[in-house]
Amino acid sequence: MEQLVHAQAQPLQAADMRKITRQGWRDMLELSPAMIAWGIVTGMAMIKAGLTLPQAFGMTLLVFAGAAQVVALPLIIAQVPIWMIFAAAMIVNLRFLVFSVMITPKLRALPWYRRLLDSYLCIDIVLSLVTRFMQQRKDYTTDEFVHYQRGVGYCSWLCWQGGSIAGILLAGQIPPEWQLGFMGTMVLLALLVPMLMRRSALVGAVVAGVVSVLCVDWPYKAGMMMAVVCGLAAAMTMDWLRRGEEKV
Amino acid sequence: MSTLAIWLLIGLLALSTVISRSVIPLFFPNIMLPPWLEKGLVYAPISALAAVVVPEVVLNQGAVDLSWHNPQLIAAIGGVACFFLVRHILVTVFVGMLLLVLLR
Repeated sequence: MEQLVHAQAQPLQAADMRKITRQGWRDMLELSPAMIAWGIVTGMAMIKAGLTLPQAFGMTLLVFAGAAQVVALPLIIAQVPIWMIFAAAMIVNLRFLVFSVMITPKLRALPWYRRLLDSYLCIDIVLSLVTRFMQQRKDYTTDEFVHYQRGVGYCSWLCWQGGSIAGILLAGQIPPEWQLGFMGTMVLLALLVPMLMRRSALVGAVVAGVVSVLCVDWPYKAGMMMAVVCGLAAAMTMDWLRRGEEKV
Repeated sequence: MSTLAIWLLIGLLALSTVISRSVIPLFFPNIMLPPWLEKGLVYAPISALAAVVVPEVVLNQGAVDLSWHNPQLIAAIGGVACFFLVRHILVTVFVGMLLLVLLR
């Protein structure tokens, strides 16, 4: 009898998980204009920087880090030594270290290749969606989190690569007046605004935004990391100051 | 830069991606976070989004411009207002882009 129940429970659960993964795909598709637009902009930038087609394809498929690529391209043109470009990319990518700390407890039980793949796909927009998922579903299980993140991650990878490849192939044919980059900004704004309903979140976002503007001239987008850390610290301080005020 | 150097660099950049995103989950999957940090990290994506969006909106040709002469700012305000009305991302993006193109 017990075995029978078990046999029935398994496929049911698998179907639930597939549903959650599909939900991840859907939520990411809604934000796909941002990924596609930035992919196109980055793809065009690679060709303009003088990369050959295979090099541009190689870079987008392997590196999969738009901000780091955009920082690296002018340094390639300027003939900066390779190790220095690597160091610059490390600085740009530092925020992912913070992101990965956040998802590590959820990935703990997975085999190593799964931990590698799932964390490799966890870019800014993916982390934003999984955070929204965590806040909306207070009683989510780790399994549900992982499946949701996987759907979001695969979809964002495809959108980014699709956009990048289009940008590489269409380089020079898309007029800059289209302002594709700002399209990405608008999508992120629409994602950000509903997350600001709690006062701590609003304070964190304001601090991060102000610091980011103040440090915008820092080399290698280091100001971005500074802004993330300051925003985090401000929001957490706010939570600490208001501890006990409301237990909701 | 020689072809070989470019490919070497592409490899290094890919390595940089993997180091920053995957080293902790891969090699330190059992790190224990203090509860306050685990709770607080929820604000990481919010901070990152704000850090990307705010400079794009308030900077006009490299300087902070909070006047109606800044088309990005007006487009963003219009887009957000629209978001509160319809709660739909694509409509928001469309309105924002339309405003930006018209104002330029």
